[in-house]
Amino acid sequence: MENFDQNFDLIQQYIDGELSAEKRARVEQRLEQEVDFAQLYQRSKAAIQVIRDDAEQSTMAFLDQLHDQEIQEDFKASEAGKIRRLPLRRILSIAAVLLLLITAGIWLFRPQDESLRAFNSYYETPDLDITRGIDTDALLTEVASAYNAGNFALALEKIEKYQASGEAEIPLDLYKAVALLETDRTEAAIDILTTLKTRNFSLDQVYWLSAMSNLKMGNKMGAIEDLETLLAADFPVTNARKTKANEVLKRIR
Amino acid sequence: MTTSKIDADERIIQLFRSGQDQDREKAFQLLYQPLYRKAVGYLINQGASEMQAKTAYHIALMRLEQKVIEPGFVLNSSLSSFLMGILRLVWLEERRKVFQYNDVEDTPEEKLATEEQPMEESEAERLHRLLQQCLQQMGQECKRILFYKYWLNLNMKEIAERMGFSGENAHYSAANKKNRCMKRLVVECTES
Repeated sequence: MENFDQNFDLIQQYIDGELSAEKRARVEQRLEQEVDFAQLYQRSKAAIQVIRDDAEQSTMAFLDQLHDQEIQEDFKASEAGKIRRLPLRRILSIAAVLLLLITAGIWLFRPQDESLRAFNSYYETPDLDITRGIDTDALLTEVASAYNAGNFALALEKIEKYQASGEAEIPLDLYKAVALLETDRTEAAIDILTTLKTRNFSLDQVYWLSAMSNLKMGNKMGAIEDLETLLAADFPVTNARKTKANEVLKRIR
Repeated sequence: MTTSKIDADERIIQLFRSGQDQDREKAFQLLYQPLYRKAVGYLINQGASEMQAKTAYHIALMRLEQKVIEPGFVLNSSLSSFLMGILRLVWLEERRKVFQYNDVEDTPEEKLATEEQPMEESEAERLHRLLQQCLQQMGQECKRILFYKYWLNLNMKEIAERMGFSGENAHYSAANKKNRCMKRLVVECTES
């Protein structure tokens, strides 16, 4: 065993280059002559190769990790670069779209006019009750059906048909004005209501709807005039209507 | 070369020489990224694939580490120029290997032997497998000392410093430790 240990140490010194020229020559001679000695040498050389392979593999694995990080960084940089490299025309078109969106946003979310806000708060579609008439014919029923269903375009069409029939027993001008107001033809509604003011029929509702139409149009002065007429009217006006008229006046003045 | 560049190169070399695993990794990290694209670009222009370029770059980095920790190593240019020089050598060697491999054709008998004979583990392959298994089972101290000796090619004085051996005979202690580790690997493992 002592001999084996000496041989092993000698081989290690030979491999590590720690022997004098004379001792090296003696080792090389023994390597040629002694099988066991040569086998021990071969196993030592193989072990060193395994150590080197293992070190290389673990270093390579670490460098591969660095490589993967580098690729990821590179990808991120190229993605960022794509944005930077956009042509001027593309940048300008994106800027134009953004400007449009911002403008639309400002328009959509602009502070509403107080008149319109008052209209939205106080306007209610008046009911159309045809049971109060003497007879209810088919055309009138169609008008009521469309109006009460909220289909004001159709209601308008039916009203005009009913009025053109020459057999209209219920004056529907007030509801025609409502249908026009509901279908955003406010100016035409105001024209009808202005005519109705000269008639002595449901004047409180006519002035109220006129006030609402003026508010929707943004005509604050016209609305104030209608509401003040309502409050000082010599025609019958309900207290509830007067209260609402006062509230609207307070808001828009 | 600017002063800051010299300082950066010197820092990387010191990190490689410190002997601490985390310093070694830091040195590779500092060196890897700045030259990666240049190195790979150069090799791809020389006809390498991306995978070959990456492997050659990694081999060059490993060789650079071994070079800069050699006793008496003096850097005469920038570390990046030095690495590019190693890279060129590595690529030349790799190409030579490919040409040699392509030049040597199997004889008809060798082809037949390769195609028809079942693969049997040779004595050398068995030895290699046993050594690999044994190395994986060894303690960290043995692994480190063998790594320093046979991968980084450090002398016993340097190994003693890195292993934290102190005293007048520190390098003898390191040598004894290294021999014991080798004996375990070569004798105990391969004879089991």
